[in-house]
Amino acid sequence: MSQQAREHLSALMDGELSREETMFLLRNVAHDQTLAPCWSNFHAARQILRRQELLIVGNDFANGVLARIEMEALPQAVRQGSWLRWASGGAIAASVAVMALVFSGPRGDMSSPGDATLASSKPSPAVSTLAQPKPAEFRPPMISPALDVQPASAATSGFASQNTPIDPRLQSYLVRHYDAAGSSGQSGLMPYVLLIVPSQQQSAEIKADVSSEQR
Amino acid sequence: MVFALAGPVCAESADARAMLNQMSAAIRSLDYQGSFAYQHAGRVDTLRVFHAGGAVERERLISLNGPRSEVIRNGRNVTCIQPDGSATVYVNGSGRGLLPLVPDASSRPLGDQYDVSISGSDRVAGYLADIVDVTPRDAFRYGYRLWLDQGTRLLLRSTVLDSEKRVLEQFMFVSLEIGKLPDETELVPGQRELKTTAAAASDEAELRGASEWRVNKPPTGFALVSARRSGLAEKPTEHLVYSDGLASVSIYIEPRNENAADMTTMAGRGTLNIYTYTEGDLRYTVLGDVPVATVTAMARSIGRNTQPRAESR
Repeated sequence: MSQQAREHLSALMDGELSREETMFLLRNVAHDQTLAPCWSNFHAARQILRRQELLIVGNDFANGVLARIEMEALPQAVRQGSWLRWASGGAIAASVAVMALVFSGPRGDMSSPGDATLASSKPSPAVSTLAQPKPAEFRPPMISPALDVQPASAATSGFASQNTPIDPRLQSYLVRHYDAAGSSGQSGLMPYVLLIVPSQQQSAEIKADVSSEQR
Repeated sequence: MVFALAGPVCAESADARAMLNQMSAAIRSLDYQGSFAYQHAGRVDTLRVFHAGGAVERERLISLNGPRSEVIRNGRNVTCIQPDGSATVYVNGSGRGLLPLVPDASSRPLGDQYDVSISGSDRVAGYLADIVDVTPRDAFRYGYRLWLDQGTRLLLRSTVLDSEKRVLEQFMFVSLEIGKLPDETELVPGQRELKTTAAAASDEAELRGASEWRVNKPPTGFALVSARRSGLAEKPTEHLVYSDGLASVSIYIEPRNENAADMTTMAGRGTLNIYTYTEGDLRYTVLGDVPVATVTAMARSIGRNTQPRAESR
Protein backbone atom coordinates (compact mmCIF):
# COMPACT_ATOMS: atom_id res chain seq x y z
CA MET A 1 0.00 0.00 0.00
CA SER A 2 1.46 3.32 -1.03
CA GLN A 3 1.73 6.43 1.05
CA GLN A 4 -0.49 8.12 -1.51
CA ALA A 5 -3.20 5.55 -0.94
CA ARG A 6 -3.01 6.16 2.81
CA GLU A 7 -3.28 9.88 2.26
CA HIS A 8 -6.31 9.38 0.07
CA LEU A 9 -7.95 7.28 2.75
CA SER A 10 -7.16 10.00 5.23
CA ALA A 11 -8.75 12.57 2.95
CA LEU A 12 -11.79 10.35 2.57
CA MET A 13 -12.20 10.17 6.32
CA ASP A 14 -12.00 13.92 6.45
CA GLY A 15 -14.57 14.26 3.70
CA GLU A 16 -12.14 16.04 1.46
CA LEU A 17 -12.52 13.87 -1.62
CA SER A 18 -14.91 14.64 -4.40
CA ARG A 19 -17.57 12.15 -5.36
CA GLU A 20 -15.50 10.97 -8.33
CA GLU A 21 -12.34 10.66 -6.26
CA THR A 22 -14.26 8.80 -3.59
CA MET A 23 -15.62 6.28 -6.06
CA PHE A 24 -12.19 5.82 -7.63
CA LEU A 25 -10.60 5.21 -4.26
CA LEU A 26 -13.30 2.80 -3.13
CA ARG A 27 -12.91 0.77 -6.28
CA ASN A 28 -9.20 0.51 -5.51
CA VAL A 29 -10.03 -0.58 -1.99
CA ALA A 30 -12.21 -3.33 -3.33
CA HIS A 31 -9.16 -4.76 -5.11
CA ASP A 32 -6.50 -4.00 -2.51
CA GLN A 33 -6.99 -6.01 0.64
CA THR A 34 -4.45 -3.94 2.56
CA LEU A 35 -6.46 -0.73 2.34
CA ALA A 36 -9.53 -1.89 4.22
CA PRO A 37 -7.63 -2.83 7.41
CA CYS A 38 -5.85 0.51 7.18
CA TRP A 39 -9.19 2.26 7.07
CA SER A 40 -10.35 0.24 10.05
CA ASN A 41 -7.23 1.24 11.97
CA PHE A 42 -7.82 4.89 11.21
CA HIS A 43 -11.29 4.61 12.64
CA ALA A 44 -10.12 2.78 15.72
CA ALA A 45 -7.50 5.40 16.38
CA ARG A 46 -9.88 8.27 16.10
CA GLN A 47 -12.64 6.66 18.08
CA ILE A 48 -10.29 5.94 20.93
CA LEU A 49 -8.91 9.43 20.93
CA ARG A 50 -12.43 10.75 21.02
CA ARG A 51 -13.37 8.15 23.61
CA GLN A 52 -15.95 6.73 21.30
CA GLU A 53 -15.88 3.06 21.96
CA LEU A 54 -16.43 0.09 19.68
CA LEU A 55 -17.19 0.39 15.95
CA ILE A 56 -15.19 -2.12 13.99
CA VAL A 57 -15.19 -1.21 10.33
CA GLY A 58 -15.83 -4.19 8.13
CA ASN A 59 -13.34 -4.93 5.41
CA ASP A 60 -16.12 -4.85 2.84
CA PHE A 61 -16.98 -1.26 3.62
CA ALA A 62 -15.94 -0.14 0.15
CA ASN A 63 -18.59 -2.16 -1.61
CA GLY A 64 -21.27 -0.85 0.70
CA VAL A 65 -20.25 2.73 0.24
CA LEU A 66 -19.97 2.39 -3.49
CA ALA A 67 -23.44 0.99 -3.58
CA ARG A 68 -24.72 3.86 -1.50
CA ILE A 69 -23.07 6.47 -3.64
CA GLU A 70 -24.44 4.92 -6.77
CA MET A 71 -27.89 4.76 -5.23
CA GLU A 72 -27.88 8.48 -4.60
CA ALA A 73 -30.52 9.97 -6.81
CA LEU A 74 -29.65 13.31 -8.28
CA PRO A 75 -32.67 15.15 -6.85
CA GLN A 76 -31.46 14.19 -3.40
CA ALA A 77 -27.87 15.06 -4.09
CA VAL A 78 -27.96 18.24 -2.10
CA ARG A 79 -29.33 16.61 0.98
CA GLN A 80 -27.19 13.53 0.86
CA GLY A 81 -24.17 15.57 -0.05
CA SER A 82 -24.72 17.55 3.07
CA TRP A 83 -24.91 14.30 4.98
CA LEU A 84 -21.52 13.35 3.64
CA ARG A 85 -20.22 16.64 4.89
CA TRP A 86 -21.94 16.06 8.19
CA ALA A 87 -20.36 12.66 8.28
CA SER A 88 -16.88 13.90 7.80
CA GLY A 89 -14.35 16.24 9.25
CA GLY A 90 -12.15 15.87 12.23
CA ALA A 91 -8.67 14.68 12.84
CA ILE A 92 -6.80 11.56 12.07
CA ALA A 93 -5.44 10.22 15.26
CA ALA A 94 -1.98 11.16 16.31
CA SER A 95 -1.77 8.02 18.34
CA VAL A 96 -3.66 4.81 18.56
CA ALA A 97 -4.35 2.18 21.14
CA VAL A 98 -3.95 -0.82 18.96
CA MET A 99 -1.99 -3.56 20.62
CA ALA A 100 -1.11 -6.91 19.20
CA LEU A 101 -2.01 -9.49 21.77
CA VAL A 102 -1.72 -13.21 21.55
CA PHE A 103 -4.29 -15.18 23.44
CA SER A 104 -2.56 -18.30 24.59
CA GLY A 105 -4.89 -19.50 27.26
CA PRO A 106 -7.05 -18.47 30.16
CA ARG A 107 -6.22 -15.10 31.54
CA GLY A 108 -6.92 -13.11 34.57
CA ASP A 109 -7.95 -9.51 34.36
CA MET A 110 -6.30 -8.29 31.24
CA SER A 111 -6.89 -4.63 31.67
CA SER A 112 -8.17 -1.99 33.92
CA PRO A 113 -9.19 1.57 33.21
CA GLY A 114 -5.61 2.51 33.81
CA ASP A 115 -4.45 -0.03 31.32
CA ALA A 116 -6.82 1.29 28.75
CA THR A 117 -5.53 4.78 29.24
CA LEU A 118 -2.00 3.54 28.99
CA ALA A 119 -2.79 1.68 25.83
CA SER A 120 -4.35 4.77 24.35
CA SER A 121 -1.08 6.57 24.63
CA LYS A 122 0.88 4.05 22.64
CA PRO A 123 1.77 5.46 19.26
CA SER A 124 1.03 3.69 16.06
CA PRO A 125 3.60 4.23 13.36
CA ALA A 126 1.04 3.55 10.68
CA VAL A 127 -1.20 6.34 11.80
CA SER A 128 1.04 8.82 13.52
CA THR A 129 2.72 9.74 10.27
CA LEU A 130 -0.63 10.90 8.98
CA ALA A 131 -1.63 12.98 11.91
CA GLN A 132 -3.30 16.16 10.75
CA PRO A 133 -5.43 17.44 13.59
CA LYS A 134 -8.45 19.45 12.63
CA PRO A 135 -11.01 20.99 14.89
CA ALA A 136 -14.24 19.68 13.39
CA GLU A 137 -16.14 16.85 14.97
CA PHE A 138 -15.58 13.47 13.46
CA ARG A 139 -18.37 11.55 11.82
CA PRO A 140 -17.33 8.43 9.97
CA PRO A 141 -19.11 8.57 6.67
CA MET A 142 -19.62 4.87 6.42
CA ILE A 143 -19.80 2.00 8.71
CA SER A 144 -21.23 -1.31 9.69
CA PRO A 145 -21.80 -0.51 13.29
CA ALA A 146 -22.25 -3.14 15.89
CA LEU A 147 -25.15 -1.24 17.34
CA ASP A 148 -26.80 -0.18 14.17
CA VAL A 149 -29.59 1.89 15.49
CA GLN A 150 -30.76 3.95 12.60
CA PRO A 151 -31.13 7.65 13.08
CA ALA A 152 -34.25 9.11 11.61
CA SER A 153 -33.93 12.57 10.30
CA ALA A 154 -36.73 15.03 10.39
CA ALA A 155 -35.49 16.68 7.26
CA THR A 156 -35.43 13.81 4.81
CA SER A 157 -37.07 10.45 4.77
CA GLY A 158 -34.29 9.03 2.62
CA PHE A 159 -31.88 9.72 5.38
CA ALA A 160 -33.65 7.20 7.53
CA SER A 161 -33.01 4.28 5.22
CA GLN A 162 -31.81 1.02 6.68
CA ASN A 163 -28.32 1.67 5.42
CA THR A 164 -27.94 4.90 7.29
CA PRO A 165 -25.21 4.52 9.88
CA ILE A 166 -25.62 5.47 13.46
CA ASP A 167 -23.96 8.61 14.61
CA PRO A 168 -20.87 7.43 16.55
CA ARG A 169 -21.72 10.02 19.16
CA LEU A 170 -24.84 8.00 19.90
CA GLN A 171 -22.82 4.83 20.15
CA SER A 172 -20.58 6.49 22.68
CA TYR A 173 -23.66 7.65 24.53
CA LEU A 174 -25.05 4.14 24.60
CA VAL A 175 -21.89 2.72 26.10
CA ARG A 176 -21.88 5.43 28.76
CA HIS A 177 -25.58 4.96 29.37
CA TYR A 178 -25.29 1.28 30.16
CA ASP A 179 -22.17 1.85 32.20
CA ALA A 180 -23.73 4.65 34.24
CA ALA A 181 -26.99 2.78 34.74
CA GLY A 182 -25.14 -0.32 35.87
CA SER A 183 -22.91 1.60 38.24
CA SER A 184 -25.96 3.16 39.81
CA GLY A 185 -27.33 -0.21 40.68
CA GLN A 186 -29.95 -0.03 37.99
CA SER A 187 -30.61 -2.39 35.16
CA GLY A 188 -27.72 -1.30 33.04
CA LEU A 189 -26.77 -4.43 31.18
CA MET A 190 -24.47 -3.52 28.36
CA PRO A 191 -25.97 -5.48 25.50
CA TYR A 192 -22.72 -7.13 24.49
CA VAL A 193 -24.72 -9.62 22.55
CA LEU A 194 -25.43 -6.89 20.03
CA LEU A 195 -21.73 -6.50 19.40
CA ILE A 196 -21.35 -9.94 17.95
CA VAL A 197 -24.54 -10.71 16.12
CA PRO A 198 -24.12 -10.30 12.36
CA SER A 199 -24.50 -6.91 10.80
CA GLN A 200 -28.05 -5.79 10.51
CA GLN A 201 -27.51 -3.55 7.52
CA GLN A 202 -29.44 -5.75 5.15
CA SER A 203 -31.82 -7.54 7.42
CA ALA A 204 -32.81 -5.36 10.31
CA GLU A 205 -36.35 -4.19 10.39
CA ILE A 206 -36.05 -0.74 11.67
CA LYS A 207 -38.88 0.84 13.44
CA ALA A 208 -37.38 4.24 13.16
CA ASP A 209 -40.05 6.80 13.46
CA VAL A 210 -39.65 10.10 11.75
CA SER A 211 -40.85 13.30 13.20
CA SER A 212 -40.23 16.72 11.79
CA GLU A 213 -40.97 19.15 14.45
CA GLN A 214 -38.79 22.03 15.35
CA ARG A 215 -38.66 23.25 18.82
CA MET B 1 -63.44 -10.68 52.33
CA VAL B 2 -61.08 -8.01 51.04
CA PHE B 3 -58.33 -9.09 53.41
CA ALA B 4 -58.89 -12.69 52.53
CA LEU B 5 -58.30 -11.92 48.88
CA ALA B 6 -55.39 -9.57 49.47
CA GLY B 7 -53.35 -12.11 51.40
CA PRO B 8 -52.66 -14.65 48.68
CA VAL B 9 -52.04 -11.96 46.06
CA CYS B 10 -49.37 -10.31 48.22
CA ALA B 11 -47.81 -13.64 49.03
CA GLU B 12 -47.63 -14.50 45.38
CA SER B 13 -45.99 -11.17 44.63
CA ALA B 14 -43.45 -11.73 47.39
CA ASP B 15 -42.70 -15.18 46.08
CA ALA B 16 -42.28 -13.84 42.59
CA ARG B 17 -39.97 -11.09 43.74
CA ALA B 18 -37.94 -13.64 45.68
CA MET B 19 -37.70 -15.67 42.51
CA LEU B 20 -36.23 -12.66 40.70
CA ASN B 21 -33.53 -12.35 43.33
CA GLN B 22 -32.83 -16.06 43.06
CA MET B 23 -32.63 -15.70 39.30
CA SER B 24 -29.99 -12.99 39.56
CA ALA B 25 -27.93 -15.13 41.92
CA ALA B 26 -28.31 -18.21 39.74
CA ILE B 27 -27.13 -16.42 36.61
CA ARG B 28 -23.96 -15.37 38.41
CA SER B 29 -23.15 -18.42 40.46
CA LEU B 30 -24.10 -21.43 38.34
CA ASP B 31 -22.02 -23.22 35.76
CA TYR B 32 -23.93 -23.73 32.56
CA GLN B 33 -23.56 -23.95 28.82
CA GLY B 34 -26.10 -23.97 26.07
CA SER B 35 -27.46 -22.45 22.89
CA PHE B 36 -30.18 -19.89 22.64
CA ALA B 37 -32.20 -18.02 20.06
CA TYR B 38 -32.31 -14.24 20.34
CA GLN B 39 -35.10 -12.40 18.58
CA HIS B 40 -34.58 -8.68 18.27
CA ALA B 41 -35.26 -5.89 15.79
CA GLY B 42 -37.20 -8.17 13.48
CA ARG B 43 -34.59 -10.89 13.22
CA VAL B 44 -33.46 -14.02 14.99
CA ASP B 45 -29.88 -14.87 15.88
CA THR B 46 -28.57 -18.00 17.48
CA LEU B 47 -25.77 -17.94 20.01
CA ARG B 48 -23.92 -20.33 22.29
CA VAL B 49 -22.92 -19.43 25.82
CA PHE B 50 -20.44 -20.96 28.26
CA HIS B 51 -20.54 -19.75 31.85
CA ALA B 52 -18.38 -20.58 34.84
CA GLY B 53 -19.84 -19.14 38.02
CA GLY B 54 -18.03 -18.00 41.12
CA ALA B 55 -16.43 -14.96 42.65
CA VAL B 56 -14.88 -14.13 39.28
CA GLU B 57 -17.32 -15.15 36.60
CA ARG B 58 -16.05 -16.28 33.27
CA GLU B 59 -18.25 -16.32 30.21
CA ARG B 60 -18.01 -16.79 26.49
CA LEU B 61 -20.72 -15.96 23.98
CA ILE B 62 -20.39 -17.09 20.36
CA SER B 63 -22.59 -16.20 17.41
CA LEU B 64 -23.69 -19.31 15.56
CA ASN B 65 -25.12 -17.67 12.46
CA GLY B 66 -23.35 -15.31 10.10
CA PRO B 67 -19.67 -14.48 10.49
CA ARG B 68 -18.22 -15.94 13.66
CA SER B 69 -17.93 -13.38 16.41
CA GLU B 70 -17.63 -13.84 20.12
CA VAL B 71 -17.48 -12.11 23.46
CA ILE B 72 -15.27 -13.26 26.31
CA ARG B 73 -15.94 -12.02 29.82
CA ASN B 74 -13.45 -12.55 32.59
CA GLY B 75 -14.72 -10.80 35.67
CA ARG B 76 -15.03 -7.17 34.67
CA ASN B 77 -13.02 -7.48 31.48
CA VAL B 78 -15.03 -8.02 28.34
CA THR B 79 -13.39 -8.70 24.98
CA CYS B 80 -15.48 -8.51 21.82
CA ILE B 81 -13.88 -10.36 18.93
CA GLN B 82 -14.93 -9.70 15.37
CA PRO B 83 -14.66 -12.18 12.50
CA ASP B 84 -11.48 -10.53 11.18
CA GLY B 85 -9.66 -11.13 14.45
CA SER B 86 -9.93 -7.58 15.67
CA ALA B 87 -10.91 -7.35 19.28
CA THR B 88 -12.01 -4.61 21.61
CA VAL B 89 -11.51 -4.86 25.35
CA TYR B 90 -13.98 -3.12 27.61
CA VAL B 91 -13.90 -2.70 31.32
CA ASN B 92 -17.37 -3.69 32.39
CA GLY B 93 -17.87 -1.42 35.35
CA SER B 94 -21.12 -2.96 36.44
CA GLY B 95 -19.81 -6.53 36.23
CA ARG B 96 -22.95 -7.65 34.48
CA GLY B 97 -23.29 -10.80 32.45
CA LEU B 98 -23.60 -11.49 28.77
CA LEU B 99 -27.07 -12.94 28.51
CA PRO B 100 -29.49 -10.46 26.98
CA LEU B 101 -32.82 -9.26 28.36
CA VAL B 102 -32.06 -10.00 31.99
CA PRO B 103 -33.79 -7.52 34.28
CA ASP B 104 -31.74 -6.56 37.29
CA ALA B 105 -34.21 -6.94 40.10
CA SER B 106 -31.71 -7.76 42.80
CA SER B 107 -29.97 -4.45 43.42
CA ARG B 108 -33.00 -2.36 44.30
CA PRO B 109 -36.71 -2.90 44.92
CA LEU B 110 -38.83 -2.38 41.84
CA GLY B 111 -41.02 0.06 43.68
CA ASP B 112 -44.60 0.79 42.85
CA GLN B 113 -44.26 0.92 39.10
CA TYR B 114 -44.40 -2.82 38.47
CA ASP B 115 -46.49 -5.75 39.51
CA VAL B 116 -44.58 -9.00 39.90
CA SER B 117 -46.51 -12.23 39.80
CA ILE B 118 -46.24 -15.90 39.01
CA SER B 119 -48.39 -16.62 36.00
CA GLY B 120 -47.93 -20.30 35.36
CA SER B 121 -45.48 -22.97 34.39
CA ASP B 122 -43.98 -24.18 31.15
CA ARG B 123 -41.16 -26.27 29.77
CA VAL B 124 -38.11 -24.71 28.11
CA ALA B 125 -35.08 -26.53 26.73
CA GLY B 126 -36.20 -29.63 28.58
CA TYR B 127 -36.49 -27.91 31.97
CA LEU B 128 -39.68 -27.26 33.88
CA ALA B 129 -40.04 -23.55 34.43
CA ASP B 130 -42.08 -21.14 36.49
CA ILE B 131 -43.26 -18.07 34.60
CA VAL B 132 -42.82 -14.73 36.33
CA ASP B 133 -44.45 -11.60 34.95
CA VAL B 134 -43.02 -8.17 35.65
CA THR B 135 -45.87 -5.94 34.52
CA PRO B 136 -45.62 -2.15 34.41
CA ARG B 137 -48.53 -0.16 35.73
CA ASP B 138 -48.39 2.42 32.96
CA ALA B 139 -47.13 2.78 29.40
CA PHE B 140 -43.89 4.53 30.32
CA ARG B 141 -41.90 1.32 30.75
CA TYR B 142 -41.64 -2.15 29.34
CA GLY B 143 -42.61 -5.37 31.03
CA TYR B 144 -40.90 -8.74 31.20
CA ARG B 145 -42.09 -12.31 31.13
CA LEU B 146 -39.46 -14.62 32.54
CA TRP B 147 -39.19 -18.40 32.54
CA LEU B 148 -37.14 -19.62 35.51
CA ASP B 149 -35.93 -23.15 36.00
CA GLN B 150 -37.91 -24.67 38.87
CA GLY B 151 -34.83 -26.32 40.31
CA THR B 152 -32.14 -23.64 40.10
CA ARG B 153 -34.05 -20.45 39.13
CA LEU B 154 -31.75 -19.98 36.17
CA LEU B 155 -33.33 -17.83 33.47
CA LEU B 156 -34.36 -20.04 30.56
CA ARG B 157 -36.35 -17.59 28.50
CA SER B 158 -37.06 -13.87 28.64
CA THR B 159 -39.43 -11.65 26.67
CA VAL B 160 -39.76 -7.88 26.73
CA LEU B 161 -43.32 -6.66 26.24
CA ASP B 162 -44.83 -3.31 25.48
CA SER B 163 -47.97 -1.95 27.06
CA GLU B 164 -50.09 -3.88 24.56
CA LYS B 165 -48.39 -7.14 25.57
CA ARG B 166 -46.63 -7.37 22.25
CA VAL B 167 -43.25 -9.09 22.32
CA LEU B 168 -40.51 -6.63 21.38
CA GLU B 169 -37.51 -8.85 22.00
CA GLN B 170 -36.91 -12.25 23.47
CA PHE B 171 -34.31 -14.88 24.02
CA MET B 172 -34.83 -18.56 24.74
CA PHE B 173 -32.49 -21.43 25.42
CA VAL B 174 -33.02 -24.29 23.00
CA SER B 175 -30.42 -26.53 24.63
CA LEU B 176 -28.90 -26.12 28.04
CA GLU B 177 -26.76 -28.03 30.52
CA ILE B 178 -26.98 -26.60 34.01
CA GLY B 179 -24.17 -27.47 36.41
CA LYS B 180 -21.66 -28.41 33.76
CA LEU B 181 -18.42 -26.49 34.20
CA PRO B 182 -17.05 -25.45 30.79
CA ASP B 183 -13.60 -26.65 29.80
CA GLU B 184 -10.83 -24.09 29.86
CA THR B 185 -10.69 -24.19 26.07
CA GLU B 186 -14.33 -23.20 25.93
CA LEU B 187 -13.69 -19.98 27.83
CA VAL B 188 -10.95 -18.53 25.65
CA PRO B 189 -11.11 -17.12 22.11
CA GLY B 190 -11.17 -19.51 19.20
CA GLN B 191 -8.54 -17.41 17.44
CA ARG B 192 -5.07 -17.45 18.93
CA GLU B 193 -3.85 -14.17 17.48
CA LEU B 194 -5.91 -11.08 17.90
CA LYS B 195 -5.33 -7.45 17.15
CA THR B 196 -6.78 -5.95 20.25
CA THR B 197 -7.90 -2.45 20.95
CA ALA B 198 -8.46 -1.31 24.47
CA ALA B 199 -11.58 0.82 24.66
CA ALA B 200 -10.91 4.10 26.34
CA ALA B 201 -12.09 4.45 29.88
CA SER B 202 -15.06 6.65 30.46
CA ASP B 203 -14.13 10.28 30.78
CA GLU B 204 -17.20 11.09 32.83
CA ALA B 205 -16.99 12.13 36.44
CA GLU B 206 -19.81 12.04 38.93
CA LEU B 207 -20.99 15.50 39.87
CA ARG B 208 -20.83 16.78 43.39
CA GLY B 209 -24.03 18.46 44.32
CA ALA B 210 -26.85 19.32 42.02
CA SER B 211 -26.68 19.17 38.28
CA GLU B 212 -27.14 22.25 36.17
CA TRP B 213 -30.03 20.46 34.49
CA ARG B 214 -33.04 18.45 35.50
CA VAL B 215 -36.15 16.84 34.11
CA ASN B 216 -38.95 18.87 35.57
CA LYS B 217 -41.73 16.35 35.10
CA PRO B 218 -40.38 12.86 34.55
CA PRO B 219 -42.88 10.02 34.16
CA THR B 220 -44.09 8.65 37.47
CA GLY B 221 -41.48 6.62 39.30
CA PHE B 222 -38.44 7.91 37.45
CA ALA B 223 -35.93 9.63 39.69
CA LEU B 224 -32.43 10.99 39.17
CA VAL B 225 -29.85 8.38 40.14
CA SER B 226 -26.70 9.74 38.56
CA ALA B 227 -25.37 13.05 37.26
CA ARG B 228 -22.07 13.09 35.44
CA ARG B 229 -20.03 15.46 33.37
CA SER B 230 -17.61 14.72 30.59
CA GLY B 231 -14.01 15.56 31.33
CA LEU B 232 -13.56 17.22 27.97
CA ALA B 233 -13.24 20.86 28.91
CA GLU B 234 -13.81 22.26 25.45
CA LYS B 235 -17.09 20.40 24.94
CA PRO B 236 -18.46 19.48 28.34
CA THR B 237 -21.38 17.10 28.22
CA GLU B 238 -23.70 16.68 31.13
CA HIS B 239 -25.12 13.19 31.55
CA LEU B 240 -28.12 12.56 33.77
CA VAL B 241 -29.51 9.10 34.46
CA TYR B 242 -33.09 8.63 35.59
CA SER B 243 -34.40 5.25 36.69
CA ASP B 244 -37.52 3.67 38.06
CA GLY B 245 -35.53 0.83 39.59
CA LEU B 246 -35.62 -1.33 36.50
CA ALA B 247 -35.63 0.90 33.41
CA SER B 248 -33.04 3.63 32.94
CA VAL B 249 -33.00 6.72 30.78
CA SER B 250 -29.93 8.80 29.98
CA ILE B 251 -30.03 12.48 29.10
CA TYR B 252 -27.08 14.19 27.47
CA ILE B 253 -26.79 17.95 27.18
CA GLU B 254 -23.89 19.24 25.12
CA PRO B 255 -22.91 22.25 23.02
CA ARG B 256 -24.28 21.88 19.52
CA ASN B 257 -22.10 21.96 16.46
CA GLU B 258 -21.80 25.38 14.94
CA ASN B 259 -23.17 24.33 11.60
CA ALA B 260 -25.81 21.92 12.82
CA ALA B 261 -29.33 22.72 11.71
CA ASP B 262 -32.24 22.81 14.11
CA MET B 263 -33.63 19.33 14.01
CA THR B 264 -35.61 16.92 16.08
CA THR B 265 -35.00 13.24 15.47
CA MET B 266 -36.37 10.04 16.85
CA ALA B 267 -34.61 6.73 16.32
CA GLY B 268 -35.39 3.32 17.64
CA ARG B 269 -34.55 -0.29 17.37
CA GLY B 270 -35.97 -3.07 19.41
CA THR B 271 -36.53 -1.71 22.89
CA LEU B 272 -34.11 1.17 22.51
CA ASN B 273 -35.38 4.65 21.67
CA ILE B 274 -33.38 7.82 21.12
CA TYR B 275 -34.79 11.36 20.98
CA THR B 276 -32.51 14.19 19.93
CA TYR B 277 -33.18 17.87 19.48
CA THR B 278 -31.33 21.13 19.38
CA GLU B 279 -32.31 24.35 21.06
CA GLY B 280 -30.25 27.48 21.23
CA ASP B 281 -26.61 26.56 21.57
CA LEU B 282 -27.28 23.12 22.96
CA ARG B 283 -28.12 19.67 21.77
CA TYR B 284 -30.20 17.35 23.91
CA THR B 285 -30.24 13.57 23.57
CA VAL B 286 -32.52 11.29 25.55
CA LEU B 287 -32.15 7.52 25.22
CA GLY B 288 -32.96 4.31 26.97
CA ASP B 289 -34.66 0.95 26.73
CA VAL B 290 -38.03 2.53 27.31
CA PRO B 291 -41.02 3.37 25.11
CA VAL B 292 -41.08 6.34 22.77
CA ALA B 293 -43.51 8.09 25.10
CA THR B 294 -40.96 8.04 27.90
CA VAL B 295 -38.01 9.54 26.02
CA THR B 296 -40.34 12.08 24.45
CA ALA B 297 -41.86 13.13 27.75
CA MET B 298 -38.47 13.46 29.38
CA ALA B 299 -36.97 15.35 26.46
CA ARG B 300 -39.75 17.89 26.54
CA SER B 301 -39.35 18.44 30.24
CA ILE B 302 -35.64 19.23 30.45
CA GLY B 303 -34.94 22.51 32.15
CA ARG B 304 -32.35 24.42 34.12
CA ASN B 305 -31.91 23.44 37.70
CA THR B 306 -32.39 26.33 40.05
CA GLN B 307 -30.12 24.76 42.67
CA PRO B 308 -26.43 25.74 42.85
CA ARG B 309 -24.23 24.39 40.12
CA ALA B 310 -22.26 21.27 40.74
CA GLU B 311 -18.59 20.48 40.43
CA SER B 312 -17.13 17.34 38.98
CA ARG B 313 -15.47 15.01 41.40
